Amino acid sequence: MTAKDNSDNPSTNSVAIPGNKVASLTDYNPGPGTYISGNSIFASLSGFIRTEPPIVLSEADEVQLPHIHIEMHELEKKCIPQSGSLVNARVISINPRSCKVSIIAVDNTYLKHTFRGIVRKEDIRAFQKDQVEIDKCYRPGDIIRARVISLGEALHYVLTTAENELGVIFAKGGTGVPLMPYNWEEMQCPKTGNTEYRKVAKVKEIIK
Amino acid sequence: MIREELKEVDLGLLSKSDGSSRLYFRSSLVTVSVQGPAESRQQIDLANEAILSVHFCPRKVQPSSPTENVCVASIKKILESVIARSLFPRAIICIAIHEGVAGSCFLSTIFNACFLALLDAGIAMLHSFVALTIAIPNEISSNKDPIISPNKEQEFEAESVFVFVIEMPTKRELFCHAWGNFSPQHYQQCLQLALGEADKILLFYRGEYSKKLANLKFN
Repeated sequence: MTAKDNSDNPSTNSVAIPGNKVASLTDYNPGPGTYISGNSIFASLSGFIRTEPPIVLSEADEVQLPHIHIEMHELEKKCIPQSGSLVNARVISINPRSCKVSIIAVDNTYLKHTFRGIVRKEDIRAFQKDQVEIDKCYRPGDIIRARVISLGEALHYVLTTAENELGVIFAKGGTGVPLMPYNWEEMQCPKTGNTEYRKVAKVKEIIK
Repeated sequence: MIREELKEVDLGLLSKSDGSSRLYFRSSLVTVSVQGPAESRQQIDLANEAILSVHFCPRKVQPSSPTENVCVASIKKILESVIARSLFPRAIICIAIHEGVAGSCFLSTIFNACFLALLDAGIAMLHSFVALTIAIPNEISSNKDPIISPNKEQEFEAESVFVFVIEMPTKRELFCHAWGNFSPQHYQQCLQLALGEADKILLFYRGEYSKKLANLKFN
């Protein structure tokens, strides 16, 4: 096995390390974990080389090239929040104008190192932005789903929850019992029946 | 040749680090730990790429020598050119190099251990790189040929010593640190030797990483 054995005919399950030429640009489309230099596709990550057939919607479509990417193990994936990505965050503190969060996952990838974010009062929901009361939307300890707007100015990612699918996905009540969603602005404690105000996310699938 | 000089190589030995490696080559032992990319809590951060922070922890706690500072700065420069820092804006990647035993081929062992730790951490890189030490024996010694990966005695008695860092697979010279008396012809001769040996070291990297992948379960 030499360093150049993956040059033009990549075999699935072969290992690539950064800098290895994995395919030619005329045969494959580059995917995650690869980069283009000249007319060749090189690996930028270390892992297994995987190829995927092209998605052909109809026979009239032009011939598409298959995709090639480097598959990494879940535990090794490195990603940081980027503009537009969906994140899961834990609320750290709230004040009348914003709430500070700690980003714990990006696009379903759990982060080993957390990042700091901020959700401003006007970014919590899309309507009646001036009448938002933060303590009726989020409380410290809640886990929320948000979207990154920008990298922010002072070391905080600026997040928004102004969509139906964004908001609180997990919260604990005063008794320490996890709350169940009641409607889009309330969550109920299954033990005591008390409701607490939250900006609840509209989760499409229930994970069992 | 690598198997004879390599005594120990370990990947992922530190559980709290994102990536780590320990390399015992010739008489040098180096442990490298990589953390990140993580949030940069420093005042200075780059908006378009990650900051690289390299720390060298010597075995004896003492003020660092100028040579040591130059080597650490060189390591940082090379790693900055190799790591795809633009993928991690406003983040920091911390690399800590711990000296175990500073024997022969110490600097090249550090470079190789850094690369293995970055492989283990899964940080995107544009190229691989390998490091080699080549010594030119002095006039008194019977063997006049350059020695690849010299031992401590050979390195001490050598006329000149070269440490090459070669970018792979393009086989371009990234860095050279040399000391002693040598001519341009010596330099070229040693460089050609290093380029020839670089493939073997890269093959070794792939083998070690493949062993690690074989133990991981993929979905």
